[in-house]
Amino acid sequence: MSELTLHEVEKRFGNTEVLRDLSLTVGSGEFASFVGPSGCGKSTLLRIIAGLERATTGEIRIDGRDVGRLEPVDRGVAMVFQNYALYPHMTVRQNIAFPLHTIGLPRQEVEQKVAEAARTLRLTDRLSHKPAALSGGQRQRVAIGRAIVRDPKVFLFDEPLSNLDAALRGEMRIELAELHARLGTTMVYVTHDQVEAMTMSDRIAVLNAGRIEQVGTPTELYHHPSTRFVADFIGRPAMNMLTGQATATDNNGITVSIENQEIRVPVDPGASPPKPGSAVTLGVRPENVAPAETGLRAEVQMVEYLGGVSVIHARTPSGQRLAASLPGAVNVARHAVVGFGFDPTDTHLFTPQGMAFRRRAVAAAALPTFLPTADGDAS
Amino acid sequence: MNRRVSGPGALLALYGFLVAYAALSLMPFAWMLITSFKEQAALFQLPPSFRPSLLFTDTPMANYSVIWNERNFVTFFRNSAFVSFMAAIGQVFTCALAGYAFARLPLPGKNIIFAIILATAFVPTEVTIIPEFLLMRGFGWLDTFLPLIVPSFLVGAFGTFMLREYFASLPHDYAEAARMDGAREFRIFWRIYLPLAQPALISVFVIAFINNWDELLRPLLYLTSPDLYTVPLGLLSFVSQYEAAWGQLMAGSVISTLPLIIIYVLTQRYVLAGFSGGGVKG
Ligand SMILES: Nc1ncnc2c1ncn2[C@@H]1O[C@H](COP(=O)(O)OP(=O)(O)OP(=O)(O)O)[C@@H](O)[C@H]1O
Ligand SMILES: [Mg+2]
Repeated sequence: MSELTLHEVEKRFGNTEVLRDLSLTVGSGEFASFVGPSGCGKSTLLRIIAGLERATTGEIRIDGRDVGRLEPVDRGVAMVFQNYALYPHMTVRQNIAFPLHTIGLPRQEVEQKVAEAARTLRLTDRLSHKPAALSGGQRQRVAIGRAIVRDPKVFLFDEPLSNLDAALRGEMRIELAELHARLGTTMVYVTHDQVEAMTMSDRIAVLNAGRIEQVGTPTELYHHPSTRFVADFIGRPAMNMLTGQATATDNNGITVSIENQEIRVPVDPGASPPKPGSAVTLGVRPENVAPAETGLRAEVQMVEYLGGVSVIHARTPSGQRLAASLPGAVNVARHAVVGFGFDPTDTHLFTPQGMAFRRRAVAAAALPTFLPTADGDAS
Repeated sequence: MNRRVSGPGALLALYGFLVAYAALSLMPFAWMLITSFKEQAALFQLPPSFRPSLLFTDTPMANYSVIWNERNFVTFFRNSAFVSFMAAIGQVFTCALAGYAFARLPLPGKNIIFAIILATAFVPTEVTIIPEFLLMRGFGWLDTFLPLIVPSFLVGAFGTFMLREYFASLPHDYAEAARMDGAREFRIFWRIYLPLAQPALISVFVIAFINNWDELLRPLLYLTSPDLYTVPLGLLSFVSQYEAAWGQLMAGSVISTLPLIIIYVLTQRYVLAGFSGGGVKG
């Protein structure tokens, strides 16, 4: 159980600033993710925590101890690489045992630990195979095995699922979450896939160009994105962004005009409310958009049928894109002009600089609650 | 080398050329083989005959049995095998260390040092052999195997070059994974990159072995006791001492070629892979 603290970490390669003023504490036993687009510095950050790279300035602390100058192994961190980096000439057993032999553990203990890890990761019948003879998912598990045998204080994962196919990715997400629940170790997970971050993390930090854009629980990020970048990045299909003007402001919200429709958005106007006539962006998630008699009129461009849901892609008369995600199949023709509506309490409002106005009462989402069965057996 | 030869005519011409070339290169070997089965009298026959005349007598292996039984050939063979093996081991070991350092370690000025090592490949042996001899004499190493073995433990330009290229072609990730696993530099080299470089190590070994097996100048210079003679030196002695026993010389040459052929056949898969570099699978 260990706490990881990043304090004002910065990283420059020559003149390129890759990480800027990065501070965050990952609590003991927490599963924290860093998400962000390709090239935003995720791997660099992880490598700095691991000790494979030095931060230009700033501190890395594990359990309060500054580890910034220690070798990786002395930090008590283990890392699972994106391409696994399994030693190709060694068997699964030798791969998993390698870190244990390195620290000079007695042979018998090594065997015991390898057997235990293999059991946990369902690799027992693969122990004498070479990595080349394994499936992608098995290689992934060997890489995890090599990390867990050392009982590290902090686990680091660098996009560990990105080499797997979609079905396996889904499976491994669940396995990783279970592993975390079982080991209770602090985990730092890096990915460009917001679904992975949303499904597994206790907390997510959204990275944009080397800077933390926002930190929060998955629900916080989903309901209260603090910037347009986060709003756009979290949730799929991506949030609709409609441009318009502010027309009026009062204490309870801001009234905006979008496609000649007046909408009163219940947000906190804050210290510098938008002047009437100034540009704003209204955000609304596709899952909050529904067909409506009145409302925004838009021409249907395409319907994506995904089985459980259908996503209608439409375009307003002024050319703005609008997507609506509806349960089941929908019966609508291409090029039909139909009305779309949404509840103003479901919307988000952003300044032209991409900062969000703090939302007021968010419609208390009707969370389905599972009740334990009478005999207390929830399975 | 992806150019295709098109058309049956072109293909025929290509194969015709290759066959002719192969025949031409094999000629000396064929001649050596035939001569080893001739009696002394048949050697200088004119016009020369391709007939291995001994095969038609009741002592077809006469030349072979003479060198094997009456001459010291077994000793020569053993000496050559020992010297060549040790020298090849020396090359592999030191070139692997040097190649790894040049390819993977953050060494200031390493490219300049590497260029200097490479440059030594262009200095002809004739230039260095006399100072080398004086050095060996100074060490008191004359008439021992040491002058034939020890220099191979001092890195060679070719092996270093080849292994440097090979190590550089291996992914860097293994080193980082191993560092995370607590391995220091030597362990990373020894347990991970050295095994992965096996094809290149084998090719360096084979090439060094063959070079040393064929070496005549240095044994001639350093060895005086016939007990220490290597195969090429021993073969030479057939000419000087016994007024050119060509048949025996050729029989000895045939035997001395065999190990090289066997080694090459056994390792050609690796040698080719070593030369083509990389080819690393995940
Ligand atoms: N050793 C280096 N020298 C110079 N620039 C580097 C170095 N390593 C990374 N960078 C730069 O730092 C930036 C961030 O790289 P990083 O690998 O951390 O991105 P990432 O978020 O992991 O991207 P991806 O999702 O594609 O893996 C990139 O612009 C990259 O070019
Ligand atoms: Mg990366």
